[in-house]
Amino acid sequence: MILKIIRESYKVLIISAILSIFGGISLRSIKSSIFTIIPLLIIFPALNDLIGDFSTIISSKFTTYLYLGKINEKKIWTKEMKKLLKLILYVSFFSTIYLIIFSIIVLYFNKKIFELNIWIKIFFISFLTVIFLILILFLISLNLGIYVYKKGMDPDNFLIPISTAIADFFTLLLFAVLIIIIKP
Amino acid sequence: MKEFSQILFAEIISVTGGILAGFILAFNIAYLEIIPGLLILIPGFLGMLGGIFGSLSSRLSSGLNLGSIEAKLKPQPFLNSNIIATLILITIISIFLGLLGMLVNFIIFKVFNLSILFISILGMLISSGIELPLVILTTFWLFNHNLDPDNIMGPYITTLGDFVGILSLLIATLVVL
Repeated sequence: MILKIIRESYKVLIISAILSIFGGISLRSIKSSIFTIIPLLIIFPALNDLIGDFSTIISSKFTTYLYLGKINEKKIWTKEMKKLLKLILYVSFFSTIYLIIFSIIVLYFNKKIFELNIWIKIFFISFLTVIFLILILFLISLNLGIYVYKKGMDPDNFLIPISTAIADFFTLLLFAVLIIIIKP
Repeated sequence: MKEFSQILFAEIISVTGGILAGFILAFNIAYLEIIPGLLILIPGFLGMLGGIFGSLSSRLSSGLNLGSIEAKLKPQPFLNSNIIATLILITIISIFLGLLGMLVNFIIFKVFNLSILFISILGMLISSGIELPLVILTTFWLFNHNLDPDNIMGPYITTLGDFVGILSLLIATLVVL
């Protein structure tokens, strides 16, 4: 079992590491801009986490449903998956609102910084990106998960690293867009 | 409704932790910038922790649901195999990430820095020493209390990974300097 886990995991972890390094390069490239727009610096890890969390929940639940027989190779888009998607979308809405409000409070109490127009832009772009990424991650989990499962591999070893890396990469892309829109 | 409240609660904790971790990062970034090119490592470092421990938690959750493992901290073949596999993966990936970070730093930014490799390995070892027992214990605890680990462990691992990962990187950087 040890060898099976390592064999199935290491390739996808290596691909994820490469994707993440590209994310790191983007981060370094936009470093000076991101550090001058303090709200972005504060929300960056939290927003990255939010999208990563959803990717983990989607992948993890998909695999459990697969092993429990609630979905199968022929019928993927079952009522459990539809319910999960609706659930994740509702949670993402409330989580994004909470993220923005909490960031505003923390930043205001620490640095007395408050710029409404920037926060409004951040909220709308962040929320739209979260929704977009959730839909992409759902598609990836369902299709890749079934593909990997048919090959006799454990989707648990594969889906979470790859979907987290994709989520990280697109979050950084979102930040590059936010900087272009927000920077005076 | 039960699932909605579990996931939302976990996300609120995760977002709170993420913002606080963002604060720690924002006001300690100067230490990490002492070593040129270390900033490239951060997303990969935190991402790999999330990927490896997320997979571990997901396997444990599947195993608990299928009855392959008991939610008790005692030697069990399934649990032992997962622990060993996770430690081996951490070692392989930390070395790979460190080497990749060094290579990219050299090719793109023309800076050669061996410290990045040592920081990656030491940081991962410190992080996994803390996260591995916590992930196992928490997954078991949730399952024993009729909570679905699939709903909660993702946000938990990313929050834990942020704090532990950033602190581990800071400690590793200070040790290597």
